[in-house]
Amino acid sequence: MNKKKNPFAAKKQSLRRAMVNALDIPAEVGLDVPKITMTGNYSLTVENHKGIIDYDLDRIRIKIGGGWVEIIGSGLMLETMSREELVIEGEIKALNLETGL
Amino acid sequence: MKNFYRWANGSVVIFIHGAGIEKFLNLVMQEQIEIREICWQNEELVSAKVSWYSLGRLRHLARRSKCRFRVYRKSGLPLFLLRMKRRQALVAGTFLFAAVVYMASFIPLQVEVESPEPLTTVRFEDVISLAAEKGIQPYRSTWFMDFHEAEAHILRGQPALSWVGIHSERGKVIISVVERKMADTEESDLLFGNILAGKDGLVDHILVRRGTAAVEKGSTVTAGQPLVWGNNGQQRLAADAIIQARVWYQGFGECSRVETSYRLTGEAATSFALDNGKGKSLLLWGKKESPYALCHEEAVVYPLVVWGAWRLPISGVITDYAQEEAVQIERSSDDALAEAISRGKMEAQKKVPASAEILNEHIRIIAKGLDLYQVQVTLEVREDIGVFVPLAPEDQVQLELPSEEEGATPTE
Repeated sequence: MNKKKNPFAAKKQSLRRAMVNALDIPAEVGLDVPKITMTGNYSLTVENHKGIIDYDLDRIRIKIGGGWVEIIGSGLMLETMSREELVIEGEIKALNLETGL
Repeated sequence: MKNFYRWANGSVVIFIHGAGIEKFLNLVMQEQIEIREICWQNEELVSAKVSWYSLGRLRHLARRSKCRFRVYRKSGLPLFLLRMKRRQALVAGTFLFAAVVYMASFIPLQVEVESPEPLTTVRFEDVISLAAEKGIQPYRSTWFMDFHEAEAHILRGQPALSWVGIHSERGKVIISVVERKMADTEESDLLFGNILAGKDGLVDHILVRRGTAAVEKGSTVTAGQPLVWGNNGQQRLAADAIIQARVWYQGFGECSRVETSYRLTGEAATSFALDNGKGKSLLLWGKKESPYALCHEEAVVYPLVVWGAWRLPISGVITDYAQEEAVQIERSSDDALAEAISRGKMEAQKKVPASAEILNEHIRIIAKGLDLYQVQVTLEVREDIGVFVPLAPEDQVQLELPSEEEGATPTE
């Protein structure tokens, strides 16, 4: 059975965004969104993640607030893994983002 | 620093296999266990590094995620120590080897003599045999060698040497010698000159070898006054004579009955810092400044030698702080006077040349108050005061005695 989408989710999110802007709070803290930093095509850091969904040598899917991030590449390695951040190293070819909002 | 912390805690490489590897990794993350370098080894096996201490907690998480893991490799300090605990003989052997090498570094294999210039009157073999008399020999630990005593012995045995220095370096003892520069007798004979008084005095003894005496025994002379002329009639020559005179040296000494001096209490502190030689230093232990209000501070800088001449660009600085305390010394009148005389004598004796002979001493009390004593000590000594002063180069012309036929005409 498919989960029904909350019709007020988009409005709630825009209200949050306005408050975050007004109060000058970092977005990744106030909106529970990930912060993704990429260095060249060999290193990628995901902060504020929710865990790993899939892990393969050429594909890593990471759960984030309201969706997932998919990293496609070759020889992918999870260099560091903690609750705060996740560092991926390897040859990164593509990045897919699914927020569901 | 992070790598050092990981090394100090110990690391383990584990191989994980099973259905729920992602679940296992998420559980590890939630338990706040540090896991890193996660990498697929093949289609079924993932390798990862975790700290040695969290290994026990992983078993429980692996069971929950239906995974299994096995330890592939261990590294780091705790595991190294564990290995060493099992191999005590190896550790003991290593320490023993290091101790033997350290001890062996104090045993010289040869004794060498070096000189900045080729020696003319002294042979290297003579220097080595003199050194051997004082125990400077190969295959004998430098701990049992007294370099200062050996240096003095070589100097006594070889008066032609002006300086001797002995040091140990890279398995050998090196005796550095410097030969005394002997004036070239023939050359000095060719120089014409007079003997002048080097200082004020009363001529006590005069023996002229060459030249004509300008003063006689009992004459009072002042510095710069000619003592022996460098001529014999019309013939110019280099004056040569022994002229001994009485010379007086004065010293001043004073002493109070109550004086403050400083003495060590025995309390000491040490600090060690690394210094880059450009004003920046990193304190490793101890205190940066003296912990005592009154102290004697001494800093020794050690270059950090890695191997041979390979040195680090930083140096170690060991600073010793020795606590001092102020002590009031109270003396009786006699003791204060004796101390003032002793200080006056010491000051006067500093001016007396080593070759001089002290004949008399005279003490004059300048001030003798209730508290302060001041004295003047005069030492009467006998010493050589003659100084040979060659004539100017343009005057270095031999005046030949005039012959009866030619008359007294100087020729060049």
